Amino acid sequence: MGVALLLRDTRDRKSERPYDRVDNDAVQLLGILMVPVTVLLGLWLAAYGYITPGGGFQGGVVLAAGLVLLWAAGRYRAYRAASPMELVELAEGVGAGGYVVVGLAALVSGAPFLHNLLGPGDFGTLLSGGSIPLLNWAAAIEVAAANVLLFHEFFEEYVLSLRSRR
Amino acid sequence: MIPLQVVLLVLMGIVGTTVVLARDPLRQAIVNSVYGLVAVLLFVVFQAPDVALSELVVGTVAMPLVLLVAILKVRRKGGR
Repeated sequence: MGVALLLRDTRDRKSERPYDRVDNDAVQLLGILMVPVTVLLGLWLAAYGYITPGGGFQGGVVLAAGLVLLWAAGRYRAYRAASPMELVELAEGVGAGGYVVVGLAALVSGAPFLHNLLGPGDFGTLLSGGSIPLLNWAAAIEVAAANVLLFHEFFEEYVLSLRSRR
Repeated sequence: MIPLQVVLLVLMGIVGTTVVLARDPLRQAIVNSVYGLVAVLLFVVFQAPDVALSELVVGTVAMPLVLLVAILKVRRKGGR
């Protein structure tokens, strides 16, 4: 049964994506206005994560939520156009790999894994974390991409069921 | 312990019970996000803003989305 589940035809075809639109003007306007705000909030959370509350994980999830808002308030096609799967999968790899690379860079130079090579920087500024900002951004990219991939799998099930209903 | 903490702890218990008592999965998903919101307030009041932010993004964005789509999918299958 597991094999059948994996092998069944769920491939996404670009020409078969549904044309859907939100009929409610208020939802549409508010949702579209929220998209840039949400994306900016996500970037801010990731960038200032080690100074103020927040961090790579929270920023990443908020970034992914901004993308999903595109569908919730706009169109599925717009959402898919904004998140091409090749790019998202690449970003997921880069995020996870980046974390390991930062850790291994310390190991290669003779320090323990994830040891800070960049110095402490100035207290309370964006450059105060040494290698922490790099790790933070790696985590943000990884989490955002992973969430988009996850949402994508769920949405595809839903969208496919829309298609087969017609 | 300040009064606000007590109020939120009690509220947490009440909303948690409500989540369990709501038998309809769709209703449960919505009440569950209210539960998440109360948890966020609780974390803020107990001075854990980092945890509050995590709970906020996961409880109000990731979980309801995945739950809603899953419920819709199951309902559609069951209806046919």
